[in-house]
Amino acid sequence: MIVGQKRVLELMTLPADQPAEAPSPASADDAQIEYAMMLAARADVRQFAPLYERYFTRIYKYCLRRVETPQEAEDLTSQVFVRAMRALDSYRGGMVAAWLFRIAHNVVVNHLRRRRPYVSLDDTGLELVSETAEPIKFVIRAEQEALVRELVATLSDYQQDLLALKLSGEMTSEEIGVVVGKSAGAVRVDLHRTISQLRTMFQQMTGERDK
Amino acid sequence: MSMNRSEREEQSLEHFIEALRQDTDAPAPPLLDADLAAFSRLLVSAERVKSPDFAAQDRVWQKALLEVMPPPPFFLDTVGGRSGTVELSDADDYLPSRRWTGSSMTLAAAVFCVLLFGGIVLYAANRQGDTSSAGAAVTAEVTELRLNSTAIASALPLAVSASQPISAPQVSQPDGYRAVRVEDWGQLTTVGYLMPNEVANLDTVIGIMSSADGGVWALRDAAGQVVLWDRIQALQHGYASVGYTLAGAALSPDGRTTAFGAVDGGLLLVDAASGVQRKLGVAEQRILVAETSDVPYNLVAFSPDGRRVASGSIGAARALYVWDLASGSLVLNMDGFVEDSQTRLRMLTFNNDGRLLAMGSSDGTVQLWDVNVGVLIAALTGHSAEIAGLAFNPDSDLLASAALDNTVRVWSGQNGAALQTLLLPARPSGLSFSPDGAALIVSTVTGDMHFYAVTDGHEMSVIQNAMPISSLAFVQDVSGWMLVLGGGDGTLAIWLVEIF
Repeated sequence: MIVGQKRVLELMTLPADQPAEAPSPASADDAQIEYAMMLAARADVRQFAPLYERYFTRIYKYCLRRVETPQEAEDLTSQVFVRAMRALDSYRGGMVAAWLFRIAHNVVVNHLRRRRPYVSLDDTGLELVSETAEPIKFVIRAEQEALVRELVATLSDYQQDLLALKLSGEMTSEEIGVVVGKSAGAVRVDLHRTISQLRTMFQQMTGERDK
Repeated sequence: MSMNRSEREEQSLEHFIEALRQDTDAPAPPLLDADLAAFSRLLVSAERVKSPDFAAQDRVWQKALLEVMPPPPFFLDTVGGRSGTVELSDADDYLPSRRWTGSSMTLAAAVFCVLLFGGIVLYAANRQGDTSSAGAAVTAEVTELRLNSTAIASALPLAVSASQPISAPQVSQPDGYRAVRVEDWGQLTTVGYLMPNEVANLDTVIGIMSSADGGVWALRDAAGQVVLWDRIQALQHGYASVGYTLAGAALSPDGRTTAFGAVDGGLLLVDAASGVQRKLGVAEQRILVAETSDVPYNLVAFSPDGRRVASGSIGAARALYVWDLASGSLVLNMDGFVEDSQTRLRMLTFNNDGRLLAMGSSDGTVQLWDVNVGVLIAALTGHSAEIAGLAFNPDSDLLASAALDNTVRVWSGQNGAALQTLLLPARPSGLSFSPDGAALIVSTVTGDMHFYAVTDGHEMSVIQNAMPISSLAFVQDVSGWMLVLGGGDGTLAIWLVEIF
């Protein structure tokens, strides 16, 4: 309830060309602000609201990409923030994004362990069409995107997680490194390999179809 | 220079590709080449997911907060409405720990209101709205006593374990209005109503429509479902949409027909009794495309006489049509009526005689059309955020718009001249004029209903609804006027509104 008011205020104070969905802290100042928010939330859990505002969309999108339906993503997002608010004392400084996404990662992994992922494109929140595309191009593009999603589904859990953290969670390699327990360099290499692997598979598939 | 959404996404993509390009740790052979960059674009596009809406954000926050806040030490076990017994049970072992019986008087309501952020308040009131001395004795054992009849009414739904039906205390409002929250869905079954979410599992209720006689209601939720509810025959019809394809829906004034908007601005008409479907325009050809697209913005509205339907969308289709239902012909075709494909249509409503059509957009503009002659009367600017509520007053000389910039603007319904701006304390979720046209009621996501005097814009009163409100509508039936509020959890609350 309080959230809505704060969100509007926050959006109103943003420069016009800044995305409403706050990206990772780009500056030391921003990191300090987040640190102060965490300290305030420790004293009073309701003060977690500004951080929730900052990260809700990214956490939700990450969850949505890893599970089946928006409803499931909403439940998982709720679990993530419940755990975060209960674990405020365990925060020892550092990147808040990485700390939060580590919790999100664990929540998603536990969820997927209990129930193997089954992605039905009809039910997910995937955006299936570009509104501005012309009809023919749209069909081709939609087919290509569908193929890419099929190929992503064949990747390992780790690789799918990397892509979801990068693309839906909008995380930097440094932040992903904290989440998955690797160095930023290793994350970059893995991401690069994953995309190259996907590209190769994609070319093979489309090549076979063309034949 | 400001960027639009697609430009921002493009920039974000370029950053992503650039980060890969600069990756010195990348193993040979594949340094990022143009082909891989192109594939990355495809990958980003394929992996894109929908952004959650504000309602989801509020819902998740409330749910999370409820879990982390400490549970109340007591809960209300029994409210003996007419016997006057209040029993307090310990939340851990469920054993009654305190009991109070007011033998010499009758309690109208006594409920716990568990405050989210600490403390418990016991509201106790007799029929006159006064607290009893015995009630005060009970409350002395808890935290606080509040003598606020409005709060008593709004807290009533929390008393779910009432042993008898509770007669709600009446809440007097100044300036000739009296609003009483009658029941919430959990109790409506006892007085002959049905609970729609028992069969439909409604998501956030974002649209409430009713037939002219109030006998049929249509509820539209954020997941794209539409549920028709025949209150007289106790029949229900649910229309689950495919994704957001059928997001636009309207109920005819006779309650028989539901119109759905297709992606191109065409119409799908469904007769609830027979199930017969009728399609107008190019809806039939486009429906397959529509099923795979995300266009939750194509809206429809019936004219009050039920003879015409307006359907429109902004975005990919950019169309605004007005159909004559008897002939199936297009009365008005304003294809491509706006240039901007980024804004979205958010609200669409006719005035009482069906001559004027108002529409509100995601960029905060409101357009006022004369549909008889197909002329744009005025483009109303002033809001800085998307329109969340739009309504004509009963005489159609006023048009009110509520926007997410937390303002309500009142315009002339004749020429669109700006008349008044009201500042809201929270984000609005719905707006309606009272049936007598004297009050403007604005609901907010925080759960308040603000009553403003139309004459000078002063706030007459605020009613707290206990739960966040996602939509609002006035409905008239044989019992009078009801203010129907849709909630984020798929439930409704009903307030009877007496005007005197």
